[in-house]
Amino acid sequence: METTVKLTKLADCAGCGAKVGAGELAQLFEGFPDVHDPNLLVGFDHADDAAVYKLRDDLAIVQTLDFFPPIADDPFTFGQIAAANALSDIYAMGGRPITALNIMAVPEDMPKDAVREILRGGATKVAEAGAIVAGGHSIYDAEPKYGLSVTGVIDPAKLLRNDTAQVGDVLIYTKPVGIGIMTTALKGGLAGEEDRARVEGLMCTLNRAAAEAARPFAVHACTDITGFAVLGHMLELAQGSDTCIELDSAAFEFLPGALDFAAMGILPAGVYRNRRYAEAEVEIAPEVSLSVADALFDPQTSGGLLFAVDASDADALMAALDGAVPAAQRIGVVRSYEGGARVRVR
Amino acid sequence: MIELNCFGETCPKPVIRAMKALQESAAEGAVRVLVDNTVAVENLKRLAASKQGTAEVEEIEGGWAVTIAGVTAAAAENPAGEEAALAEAGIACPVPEAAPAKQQVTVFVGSKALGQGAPELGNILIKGLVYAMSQADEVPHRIVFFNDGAALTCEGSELVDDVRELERRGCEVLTCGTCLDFHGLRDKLAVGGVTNLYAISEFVLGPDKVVTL
Repeated sequence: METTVKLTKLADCAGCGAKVGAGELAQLFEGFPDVHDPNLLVGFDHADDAAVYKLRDDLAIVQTLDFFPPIADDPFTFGQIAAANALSDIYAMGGRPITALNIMAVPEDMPKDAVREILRGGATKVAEAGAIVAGGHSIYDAEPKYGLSVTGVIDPAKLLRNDTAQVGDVLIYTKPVGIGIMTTALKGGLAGEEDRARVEGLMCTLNRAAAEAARPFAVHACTDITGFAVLGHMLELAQGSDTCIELDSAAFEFLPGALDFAAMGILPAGVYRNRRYAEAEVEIAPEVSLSVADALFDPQTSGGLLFAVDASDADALMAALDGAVPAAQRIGVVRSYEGGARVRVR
Repeated sequence: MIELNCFGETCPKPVIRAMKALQESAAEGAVRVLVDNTVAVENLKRLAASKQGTAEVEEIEGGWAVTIAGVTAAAAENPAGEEAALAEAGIACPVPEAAPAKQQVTVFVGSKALGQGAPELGNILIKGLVYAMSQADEVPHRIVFFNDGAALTCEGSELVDDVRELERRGCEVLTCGTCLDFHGLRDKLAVGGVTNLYAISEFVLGPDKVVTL
């Protein structure tokens, strides 16, 4: 018998699975007033992870905002995941987070302790990132939601964009794949406590160590893999850089159980949304199983960083990431685009 | 053939109900599932394939009817562990469950020492008791470590091997996540899973006999 309310049961879709599709977003912004400011280095015409505005030649601010409905039942864990996910966009741009503002919606009758725990989870992660929670805004809503608006700083010369990969770059990713599938299995009561601890621990892991490990190397482009899944974010990288990306599906590390659950059809709606958006530009070799392909379309709430690094630095970056991130994987290469699919998976 | 009306249900639920129904109607190897979203249709197709069966999709008023057929009894069996999870999730299980033969026990351990008195003695006692439980004819259903007791399942604790033995013998081992975080031990957990107060409240209010050490 259900005696308590589990946070995820208050949410229709979980975490980054709740994200509006990439294709849909692009349409929404069409025809808006065309205002230009040379200091806006990255705006939303770039489909990048965060906005970057230059203040001085050696200083720019990086701004991002991210929130979603509960993806974990434990409020403290949910708060940590939402914060790690929001902070990630700053790391994906090469920046250093400095301040964060809470964004929160909670049902009026939610226990105050639970609300506090969500906020404490966020504050804990923000502190771990070396930043500070400077304020926020809360409203009442039937479905709880939490996230943060984070501001970071960066030297514009060191900005890491997601549309600047170069032919010959090696692609390296830093977290195991299958977060959306495992959270769906948990929501359905199919996965065990060990799975819960693993996937929640993964979502709580900041991308700070990954970003710091990569700093000394010739990283040409970077993004974090979140709601649009490995293949959606890969497509953005390929299109933005006018290159073609070749992925080796065997090089990915999948969360234990994720491929089995995928085979059984325990897939979040986001898998199909991402498939619809990216499918036309993605070619998947027939020998790649449907469950692996589904996992590569799986939304990754608080996923890892994807680096496009100069081939001469790939080994050194792998060595630096080893032990510092949950799973350093060398997943593919950047090729010149000669028509056809932008992303090829074999 | 069993027909399930899953209108209004999202992501994992229609698949989980179909899995359960296939198992119950194993002789028939077929189930018809009514759904109102394409995600459920696609997920059910995958379920059919994973059970070596076929899926036929038919458009109906307001949605689709997915008929899964040709599933053998062996394929309908759900992998071990899922069974318990299905029951735990309380998902559409009309079969009355047999009353447990014996009252199950959930043990809570809230301190590094057993009883009040000299802490050193308390440490010896808790270690002895956990060892004894790990060797007992019947291990507890579940053991939950909380407050200062959370350290007992972490690296450096002398109890880790005995608790592993409990786990190996089928006892569910859990440690309170809030307590691990409070003590900065989240990365040091050496045995069992992490739980939270929502789950713990279910244990306390659930059918198990609850014993706090």
